[in-house]
Amino acid sequence: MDSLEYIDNYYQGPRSPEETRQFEQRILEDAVFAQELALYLSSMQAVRDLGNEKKENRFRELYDQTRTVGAGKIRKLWPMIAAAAVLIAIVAAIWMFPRTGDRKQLADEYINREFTTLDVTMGKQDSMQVAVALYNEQRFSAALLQFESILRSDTSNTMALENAGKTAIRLRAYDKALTYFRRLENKPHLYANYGLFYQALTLMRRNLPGDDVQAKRMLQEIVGKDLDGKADAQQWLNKW
Amino acid sequence: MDKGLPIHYSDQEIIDHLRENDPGRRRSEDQLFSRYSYFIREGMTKHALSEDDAFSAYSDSVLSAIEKISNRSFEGRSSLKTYLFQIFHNKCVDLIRKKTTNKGSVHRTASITDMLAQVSDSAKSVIQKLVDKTDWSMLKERLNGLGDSCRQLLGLWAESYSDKEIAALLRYKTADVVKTSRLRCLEKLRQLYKQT
Repeated sequence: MDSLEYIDNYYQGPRSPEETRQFEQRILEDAVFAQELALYLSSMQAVRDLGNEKKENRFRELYDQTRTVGAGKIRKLWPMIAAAAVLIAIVAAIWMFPRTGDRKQLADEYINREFTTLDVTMGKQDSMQVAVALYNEQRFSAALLQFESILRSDTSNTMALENAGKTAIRLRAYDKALTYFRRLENKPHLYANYGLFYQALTLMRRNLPGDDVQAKRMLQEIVGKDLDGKADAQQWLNKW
Repeated sequence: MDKGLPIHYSDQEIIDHLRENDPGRRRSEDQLFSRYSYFIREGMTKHALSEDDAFSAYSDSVLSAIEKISNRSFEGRSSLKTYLFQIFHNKCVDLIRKKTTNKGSVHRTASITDMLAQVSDSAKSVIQKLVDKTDWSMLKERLNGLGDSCRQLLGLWAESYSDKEIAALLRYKTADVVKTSRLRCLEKLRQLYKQT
């Protein structure tokens, strides 16, 4: 019986303690067998991952449909909702808008100043240079695809992560930008890591309810822990 | 095939369909997702997650619950709602703590660890180290190159369908024919992957 069939039999049927002991012994003593088993398990997981991706897409469709139906129900209540919304808008305009508007403006100023172009890396023409060139030509969608392609083949490429986040900001895909900057923040041992600062910037620019509170907390953390972006963070906090 | 089945399943019916891998499975998965999708809103309000993050946490939770119900790790000691909510809550906390920088790999590790549950820690560690070296994108690419029938066959196998169930669903003559074809597909995948 070859290894693949032996492994498959082990997982398909009931196994006695003796069979488990022999199986374990082979893992520890037979390197080729261990590799076969690892590939068997990885294959099963890869198939499962693909299936899960399809299911997740199906769930996304279901969720979007639910939201549409929910929106239909809300439409019936529109007169009351509209009246309440107007009232809330007036209150918000009086008490909140000038402040949150300022923060959005601060973020815009920073993005227009710092994210106009990306630095071109030196060396031979590679996919990173192509992506940066697309960004600098303001072809942001194409640039993002290129950065994402780099990340697919090298998930630890921090420059691609940072640039993908910046590109997503330029495309106003703030959720995506946050995901990239969060991943960047979690990369240890970098000479400079603006991950947290860029998350705060994205939240200030996105400006959804609750974003300002989160952004402020992040800026305070940057200042408190002396992280990259501290000077700008301190300036913004002074104007908060 | 689902035409004769009730449109709305009870929680117990959902569990039964997922355990039995019968034709009501897909509808059960969808109904499980839709029934508690209001958790997404709770993730947004209680955990201050973005809608995308809350959706992703919920979707992951449903997939995880489906897997646990199918392989009978879920024993029904709590209600389906409580069980799903507990998974969802943990995933939200993980997201907030930013521990889950790569959700796929975390889920992956958990599943493979489940498969090695009965062997000792030293054997588990040997396999885990080898699995960590897997080039997942390459493996998936090779999997996509296998052809529809192999992918379908392996898809059901990975979802814990028995060879007998696969034979009935895909109209193979016997479970033994399914097994032979399945191992042939796995061998083909192995060779394609090793060529790289």
